[in-house]
Amino acid sequence: MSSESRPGTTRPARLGQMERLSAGLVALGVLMPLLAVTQPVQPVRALAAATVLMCLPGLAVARFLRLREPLLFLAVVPSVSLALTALAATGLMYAGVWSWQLTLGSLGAVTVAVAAITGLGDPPP
Amino acid sequence: MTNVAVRQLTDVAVRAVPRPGVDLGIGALALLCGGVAVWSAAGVETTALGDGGLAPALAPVFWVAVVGLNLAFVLSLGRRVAVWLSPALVAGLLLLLYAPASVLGAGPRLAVSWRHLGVADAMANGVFDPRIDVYFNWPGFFPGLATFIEATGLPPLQVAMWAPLVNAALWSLGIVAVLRALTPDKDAIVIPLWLFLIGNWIDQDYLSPQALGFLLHLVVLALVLGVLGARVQGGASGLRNFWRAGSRVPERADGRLRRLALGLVLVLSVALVSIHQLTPIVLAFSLVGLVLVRRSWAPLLPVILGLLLVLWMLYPASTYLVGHPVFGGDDGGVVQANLTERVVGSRGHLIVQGVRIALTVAVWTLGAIGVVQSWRSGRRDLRPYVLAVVPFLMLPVLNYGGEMLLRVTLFSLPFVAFFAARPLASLRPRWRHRAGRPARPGTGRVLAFTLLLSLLCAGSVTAKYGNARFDIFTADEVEAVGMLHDLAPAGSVLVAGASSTPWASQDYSRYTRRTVQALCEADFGPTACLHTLHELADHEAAAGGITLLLTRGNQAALRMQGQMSADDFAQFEAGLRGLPGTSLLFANREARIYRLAPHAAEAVGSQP
Repeated sequence: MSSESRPGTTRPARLGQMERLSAGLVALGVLMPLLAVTQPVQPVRALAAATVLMCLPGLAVARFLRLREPLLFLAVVPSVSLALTALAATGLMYAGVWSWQLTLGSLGAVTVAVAAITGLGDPPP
Repeated sequence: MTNVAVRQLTDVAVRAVPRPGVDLGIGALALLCGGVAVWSAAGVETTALGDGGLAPALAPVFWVAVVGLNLAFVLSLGRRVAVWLSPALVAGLLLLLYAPASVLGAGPRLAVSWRHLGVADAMANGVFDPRIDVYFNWPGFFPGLATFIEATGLPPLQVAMWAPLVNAALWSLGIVAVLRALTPDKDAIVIPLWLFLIGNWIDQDYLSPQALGFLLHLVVLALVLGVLGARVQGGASGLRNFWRAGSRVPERADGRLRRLALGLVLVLSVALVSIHQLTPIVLAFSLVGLVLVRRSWAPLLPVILGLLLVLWMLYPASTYLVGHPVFGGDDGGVVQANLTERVVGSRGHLIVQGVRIALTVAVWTLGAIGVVQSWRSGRRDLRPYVLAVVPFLMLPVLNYGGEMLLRVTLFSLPFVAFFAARPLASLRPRWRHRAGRPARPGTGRVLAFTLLLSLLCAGSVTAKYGNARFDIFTADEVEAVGMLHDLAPAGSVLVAGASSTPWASQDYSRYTRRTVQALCEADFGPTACLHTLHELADHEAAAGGITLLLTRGNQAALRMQGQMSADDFAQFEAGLRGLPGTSLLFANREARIYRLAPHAAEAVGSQP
């Protein structure tokens, strides 16, 4: 589903060329933190928040690395997500500005940024 | 593809025999056994638990599920199986071994889980002072936990109750990723994983920084072995030539992937350094080991990790390190601190300790046999040897009290299990074709392997839940702890009978918490212990004395660990009640709360 970006194309055109999985991750990176912050009923809230904290950033990073080995991919996704959750929350705590909403937002931002770079970059050979 | 031989763990000839119908049955059996085991464990009355822990209290159907699950596992070996079958089998084992902790008692098992919830709660409420204790010097795990609890809106106690199951599942992912980097053989991955989950009675999978640290440790190793690995081209045989001959080349030609993987490993390392003090040290030495055997393409990685560690100790953790050196070993001796002092107590508790030692020795013995077999068969991949041995080198080096042996056992267990799988693999069923059709394997081999794994599983349940009498808490005990926080003045000293108390999940920094178990360590005699408590009450005169909680679990812990007999405990509590200035503030079936006023120490000597 990926399509190669061509030099000289405009930004909207390049965004339009983003491969579907990366575009999906970008969308989830925006929607899931927003959904969790609105505190919907359970289990929607728990699922939305857990997806951001345990899945999305790691998924974006593992795809960015283009890990081919499925078992390594599966291990990297939750562990990187949890590591980034710990780093983001601890960093905000040391900065004295911790809140769970801000932590979710920063993890969503990481997901969006990494997925966008992956989606807009050159496709794997 | 049916006649393609599976890569061998042993010299036993096995065939790749796809049998979708059998796979479906095996998967269903595994999940059924896991579910039955959880249902059976949930039916155990916590008040009926004895000194032998959970195992003697389990219904026969639990043990039937143990045998059924292991039979399903054995029937999945020695042949090609559906891709979903191994995860289904592991899910069954995870349910059987790890979910009982989630369904027993009125809250999470292990007092330390409650404490960790309290630390996260304190940090979420703006308490972030490194002078409080060690958790605030390596805080990385707790803001993440606070975020998870607040963001998901899940009850904190439920999060802690299910954490062992989730952690064990995440560790399983890490272990298969590591083992996949060592071998492509399916059985050489799933048998060690099975043995790891059985052999891991060590109880580090609860809601804790070390549980997350171990996951990150495994994933860093998987990345280093799988993506940042190296091999020697043109090497020569013999130890003398090992480090000189040939040239080291990367296992992955993709430079971009290696650079990005290195960056990812550094991110994981920073997280790890902020989470736990011990794990990054073991990881750094494991990476040094891989560099020394010329199997790492990132030789500077352990140096960078070491620098990160030093920087963390110099700045965020400097407060704690004054008076708490990380290096230096235990003054009392490794064996005494880790083994002799632990193997004491009541008869039932000693049997549990014996099972723990026997289970560990059994896995290590199988591992040792596997090492010999592996070496004799010409396997010269030194990576698993290094990763199995390096954690033990930390034993005399690190100052981690009596838990160090347990911790290094956990770090080496995936690789010990990797070798232990080798002798066990010769018991795998032999799948054959007769007249062009798949035939049943011989039953003797299947039954022998099933029985052996079932025995190990039974040992694991006995070992893992051997302290259930005092580390699983009842509703009455939880209620009493709630009352304790209501009755004690803020800032005062709370004393519980033993460390096995479900407290500190809230108001973590509001009180100072002590235990009779620690205060009376020098002399557990009732009179001496009363004297110690009243000295503390006098010391805390400004706060009006101390508030003391005694629970069923506290009493069981003191008795089972050989510190205070039932008679001594009764004498101690009677003496307590008889002291002038002592008042009973609260009581239910399984707990009492007393207030000990100051200036009564002189009366202690006259008590029985």
